[in-house]
Amino acid sequence: MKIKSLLLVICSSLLLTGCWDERLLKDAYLVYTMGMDKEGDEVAINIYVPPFDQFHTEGSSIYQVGRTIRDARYIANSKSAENIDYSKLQLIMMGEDLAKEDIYFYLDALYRNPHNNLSARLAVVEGKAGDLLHKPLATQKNTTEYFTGLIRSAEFVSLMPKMSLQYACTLLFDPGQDLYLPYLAFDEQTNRGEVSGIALFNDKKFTGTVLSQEQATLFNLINNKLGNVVRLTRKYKEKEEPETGNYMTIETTMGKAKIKIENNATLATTIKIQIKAVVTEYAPLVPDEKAMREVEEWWTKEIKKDAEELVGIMQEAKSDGFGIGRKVAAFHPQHWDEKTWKDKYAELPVIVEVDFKLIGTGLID
Amino acid sequence: MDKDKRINQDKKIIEMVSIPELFKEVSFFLGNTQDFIKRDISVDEGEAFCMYIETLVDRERLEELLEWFQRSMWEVGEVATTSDFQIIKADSSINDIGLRIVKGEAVLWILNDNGWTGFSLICPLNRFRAIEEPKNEQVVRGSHAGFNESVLTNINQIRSKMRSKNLVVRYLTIGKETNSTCVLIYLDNIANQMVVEEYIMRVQAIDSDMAFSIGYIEEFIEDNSWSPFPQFLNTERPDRVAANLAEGRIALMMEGSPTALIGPVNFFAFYQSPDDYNGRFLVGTFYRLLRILSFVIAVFLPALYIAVIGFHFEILPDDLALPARRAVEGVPYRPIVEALLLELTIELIREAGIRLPNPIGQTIGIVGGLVIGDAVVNAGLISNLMIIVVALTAISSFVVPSVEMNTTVRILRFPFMLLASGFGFYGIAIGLMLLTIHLVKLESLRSPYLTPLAPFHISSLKDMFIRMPSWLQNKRPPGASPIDKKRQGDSRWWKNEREK
Amino acid sequence: MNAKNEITGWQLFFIIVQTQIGIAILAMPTDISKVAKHDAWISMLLAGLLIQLVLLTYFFLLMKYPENTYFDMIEKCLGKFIGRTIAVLYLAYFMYVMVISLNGFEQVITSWIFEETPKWVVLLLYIIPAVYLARESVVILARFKMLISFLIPVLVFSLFWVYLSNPQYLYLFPIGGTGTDSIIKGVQPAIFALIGFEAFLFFGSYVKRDKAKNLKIASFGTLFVTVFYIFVIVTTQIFFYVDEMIIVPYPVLYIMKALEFTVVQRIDLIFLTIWMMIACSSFTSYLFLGANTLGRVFNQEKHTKMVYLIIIIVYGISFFPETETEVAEWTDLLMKISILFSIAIPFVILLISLFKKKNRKEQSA
Repeated sequence: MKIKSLLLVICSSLLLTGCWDERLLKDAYLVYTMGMDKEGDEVAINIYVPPFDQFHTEGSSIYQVGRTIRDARYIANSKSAENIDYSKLQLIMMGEDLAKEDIYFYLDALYRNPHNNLSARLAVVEGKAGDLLHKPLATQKNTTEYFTGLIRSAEFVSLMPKMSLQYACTLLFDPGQDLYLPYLAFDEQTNRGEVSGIALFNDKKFTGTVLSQEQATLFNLINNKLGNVVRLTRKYKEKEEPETGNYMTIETTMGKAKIKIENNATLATTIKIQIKAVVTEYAPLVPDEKAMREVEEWWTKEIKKDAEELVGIMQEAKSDGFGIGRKVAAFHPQHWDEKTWKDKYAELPVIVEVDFKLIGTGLID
Repeated sequence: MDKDKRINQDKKIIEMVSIPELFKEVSFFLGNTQDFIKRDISVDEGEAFCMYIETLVDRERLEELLEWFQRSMWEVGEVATTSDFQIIKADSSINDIGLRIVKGEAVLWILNDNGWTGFSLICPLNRFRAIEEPKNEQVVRGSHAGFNESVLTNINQIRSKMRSKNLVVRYLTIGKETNSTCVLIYLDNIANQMVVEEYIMRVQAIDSDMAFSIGYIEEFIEDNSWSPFPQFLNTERPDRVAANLAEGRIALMMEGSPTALIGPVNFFAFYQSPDDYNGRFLVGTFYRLLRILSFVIAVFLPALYIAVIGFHFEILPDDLALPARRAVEGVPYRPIVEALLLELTIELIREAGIRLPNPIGQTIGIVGGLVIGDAVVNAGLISNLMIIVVALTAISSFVVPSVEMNTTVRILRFPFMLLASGFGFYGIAIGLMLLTIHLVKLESLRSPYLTPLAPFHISSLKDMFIRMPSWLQNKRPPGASPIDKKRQGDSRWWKNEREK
Repeated sequence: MNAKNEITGWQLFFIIVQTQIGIAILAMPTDISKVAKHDAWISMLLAGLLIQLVLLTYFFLLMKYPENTYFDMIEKCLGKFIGRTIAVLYLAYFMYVMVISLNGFEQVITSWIFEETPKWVVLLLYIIPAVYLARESVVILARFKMLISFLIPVLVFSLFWVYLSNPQYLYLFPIGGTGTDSIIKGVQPAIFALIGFEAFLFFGSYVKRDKAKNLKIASFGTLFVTVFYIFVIVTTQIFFYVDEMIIVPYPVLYIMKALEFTVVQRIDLIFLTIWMMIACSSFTSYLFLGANTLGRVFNQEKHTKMVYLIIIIVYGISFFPETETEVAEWTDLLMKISILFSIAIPFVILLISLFKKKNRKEQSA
């Protein structure tokens, strides 16, 4: 009884005074997209808030320069009528210049705050993030929805695996694997943004090397991180009319890769790629046994060539996106040295083996 | 006066010398009430007269009995005690006679050379409702009979449902002034004797002068009156009473109340409806789960909403955050004020609806629900999300098949709303813990309230959240600690037989 | 139905589980990983085995004096005065555990959801249900703990999500690579995380029927907790890289925060709510024990008033450590004295009791 009355007193006093940590949704200025750029020695942030009523198609944005991310945010808050809230942050876009520095310094503020959304996506932007965000886009959606959607659809078509803030930080800490992020660019012709490839990181810094869209798909395949749809299109024949007739599109139903590392000082590495695919677009294909074998052989060579090229690029950039270092550390700890690993990696002998199987020709026989 | 009465009530009939004197004494005992009537009758054996309270006696029946009495040749030994007649001992006191008269019996006295000979003619005036379906416990399938205000009719209804030699009825009288008859019913071979004793003890301990309704008694005999939870199951359905008796529980009924008070019960008994057993088991299970869910919604939904809107909106999925943000844009009040405003409106509509005749009640519902709801959103006072939440809560709280639990649930959500408005999820967690501890502590007739969960009984879970087919529930639930734990054997042996 | 003050073996099982799983579960993976790196789970396994040995001591003690409480045993072995003194020391120990527990709880709440709410409010709310429960008899306590235990599977299932999303099993390799030294050093924080197993000794005397069988059932309580903790450690380690885990104070909460669900975005807040109940339940065990011990010291039959007395003192003391470092210092001290109280003293008592028995035999012979 005493306890109940005590409780009652506490409750009613609370109702009267209001509370310490109350954050009312109606006062929150929900940021969905944030761009970060370097502005001299300072950091510039662009924050985007989607519209709160039906009458506006475009939300509001704030641009602010500050010493640190938190500093810029703090100043931005003083410029806004509501309380700027980052708990619904969907996308963090980093300008190229900023990404070339140790990005953990910039992400730390987002990572540590308990209110923040750890499943926010990260992206590197060609040029400045602010510029891309301010470009007029040929789309019906508002800026924030558009860019988030862009990343989501890139995940769907296997251009880029899901890369959340949380996973990115794990990779940043792990010396055995490097971060990779989607690379956003602006397409002048269509007035739209696009995910033009994968930005490779060495340790915590952007290397400047970007994988093309075709390489990105292969990269994801070797990383065993494919999305829902995986399509590869290559030029199969040279002189057919019309030009489209030269190209063959396949859709893989199963694609996986294994990385094996020999247990000796050279750490010779073998990447075994296994693909089962269906031809979805190639008009001249006659589905007989011989033609199928030919196609298979051709694709095997093609993928092998591409994969070797891909590995070459990555070694040159000293970016270990496949996590070869992690495997060395886990299984051959005697050959693992955190400090010299990157130099060793660049010189690593890598052999690519491809096992390509055609299991169908789509709907048309 | 008091002293006179005391002297008066101890006087024996034998001491009286004449009929007028007897009448005067009894009349005095009854406070000279004017509906106390004397009628002289002529019989061969001597002087005779009959006295009764005219407002308690069925006139026609009395005439029939008297006529039969006069016509038949009788001798004291011949007229045995029957349901219509009872012989009164000559050494009874005025007090005994008075009590008989107050109960509605007509007392017939014959004075001759042998002294007084007394009979009691039982012809009470019964004006009761017909048996109809209880309004607040309607079912779709199954019996539509309900109790009425006559305890005899009610026992008759139960007895005709279970014609068992083990069904025991015990009469108890409570209320120093009202002398109300209470009836305790249980199955002798199943109900735990200790629980029966406890129940009787508690009823007899009531030292109140009045007891009008069973709800009045309930407060005296429950384990914890401060608890918001009902510790006895109230029902007006004979089939529900019978089912509970068969599980070893005990029912208390009272003359004048159409309700049976069943104990010991557990929390989940309030969420069981006879409908569950009449339908298919999948359907029964589904609706039972739905009811438990309705409890959760009715108690916690407004609190959760307040906590989310006021503290933890990051918990909203990305696609919902924006619509929610749009909905609360421009609402002037804090969520708790918003919620209280709307909850109180709903309670007002409900309370107004009960007292009003049906057609007007509906109108009030529509005006209150639709008009106020729409207007309040348009005026920007309250967000439309809050309307959804409160409406859903209101509907959920009416799902409970028990009236008392329904009110409990509606009251319970207010402290949770306050806690949520103060401390968000933390407050809700604290409230939830207090509630859980309270439920674990609570007992109904000394048996734990949260029975199949705490203490945990795996076998009786079969009839708690889910309803397994009846032929699988071979054991009685342990809540009432029945003596005979086994309910039934294998009723479907033919199934295995055929497969062989 | 239970007779008064008697519990079954399963109820004791859950009392032990609920006493052990408290504040520690959130910070435990970090604390052990700081020392034992990615082999933290091995440390936990070793600690668990060690605790099982300690339980054996308890078991012998309880079986030797089946009618007595632990304090009765001490008095029988060491005489009334020393017995009293030791009881007072235990009382101080329980209160110290309560203070640490309150402070640990407050730190979690402050850093995770309530940054502004003052400590006194958070703690006041926290102790209300604890007092409400600790006033009751041991039977009610046992029933409540059994009921609350249904929440543990919820925690396990929500953690299973990690295995479906992006588990990095390689982070566990090479197994044992941290070196024996570190692993053994990690046993100490692991034992600290398992503190609460002494509940077996104190609550064991409430088991009255089939003592041997029921105590055996209950001794699986710590085993269950050990397995559960190993599961938690492994789950956090395949989610975070070790270096990252060290900077993340409450890895389990971080995991929950990073997981994406469609209905509820931030599962960690729900997890936190569930955890609060479990933590409070653990706190209540100590409050109950403390009140009973105090009741014993003052020769009081009913412990209800003692609960109020103790909670007021504990609530007062809990404001002494102000900064995080101070709390850490206090906690370090607890780590040492808990070994004294939960392992050393019972062991000595067992030895003395064995010796006494021998003595008596010699005398009689």
